[in-house]
Amino acid sequence: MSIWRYANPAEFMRITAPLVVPLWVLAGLLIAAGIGWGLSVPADYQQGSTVKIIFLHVPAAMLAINTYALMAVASVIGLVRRHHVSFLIAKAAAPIGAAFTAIAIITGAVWGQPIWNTWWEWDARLTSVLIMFFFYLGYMALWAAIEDPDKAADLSAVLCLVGVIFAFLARYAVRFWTTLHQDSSLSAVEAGQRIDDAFRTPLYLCMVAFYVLFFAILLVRARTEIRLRRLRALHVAQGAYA
Amino acid sequence: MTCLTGMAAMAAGAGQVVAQAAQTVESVPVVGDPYVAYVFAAYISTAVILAGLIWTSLAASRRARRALARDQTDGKGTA
Repeated sequence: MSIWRYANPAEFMRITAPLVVPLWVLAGLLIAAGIGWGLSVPADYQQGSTVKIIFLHVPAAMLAINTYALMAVASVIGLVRRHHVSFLIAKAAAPIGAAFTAIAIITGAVWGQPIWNTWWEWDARLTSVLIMFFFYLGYMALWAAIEDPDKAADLSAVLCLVGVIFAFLARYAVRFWTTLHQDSSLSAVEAGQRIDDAFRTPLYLCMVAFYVLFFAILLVRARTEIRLRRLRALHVAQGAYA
Repeated sequence: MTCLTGMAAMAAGAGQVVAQAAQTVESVPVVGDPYVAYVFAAYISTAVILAGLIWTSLAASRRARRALARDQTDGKGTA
């Protein structure tokens, strides 16, 4: 059975229909558990209670980058194989990625003020995340600005691929340059464990919760885009036969 | 000479008292959490952004579903 059958809009709608409600319920439960646990952890000996911000910042930052990667993959598939569902999934993912990028930037600034003594620094990672955020906005603006959906899909996909470099930099800038933002706390490093289990376990739970929420919203938005495309096709057909 | 030694001893003693007092002040726990406003701001801003995203996504979905159902029942085609 080929994976490409999911590229058929009718098949995609049929397969995803029973997933929507369970995903929302699961996302709600996981978010409640993760955030509740995160808020109840003890204060860190260095960061104090600002450590509770990582339960929002880290999952949001991961999703900000990975959503862009998903959009890039979907755009490549759309451009190469001409599957409309791929373009529509990239389009549906963009506002979600932009929202999570905004959350990552805001929570990072709010954490940075008491810990780094600055809201913002033109650090390699922060700057690349900000540029990635502008690419999200530009991608959405381009889709909205072009009336022909096929042309909009192609041009937006190309723009998305141009911005991949900043998603890559947002992920790996801390390894290329030693600037203000610290390296990942969760990656396996030679220095050993960098984060105590008291924070690590609820952080993992929050990451899973945010991912489930992401897929719940993505499904709703992708299904909406497919419906809107059907609607447009109906109107075109009506105009042709009128 | 004795007087000078005595004064030095007094000064050293006074310094010790000051150091002890400073240590006592540092060890007094801060009343309340000095970072609570930052944590609150982070969680509220995240909640607002996510609520907006979810609200607009569900509203757009509802509008599209209704419009499609209306057009199909109007006999404009099949989806």
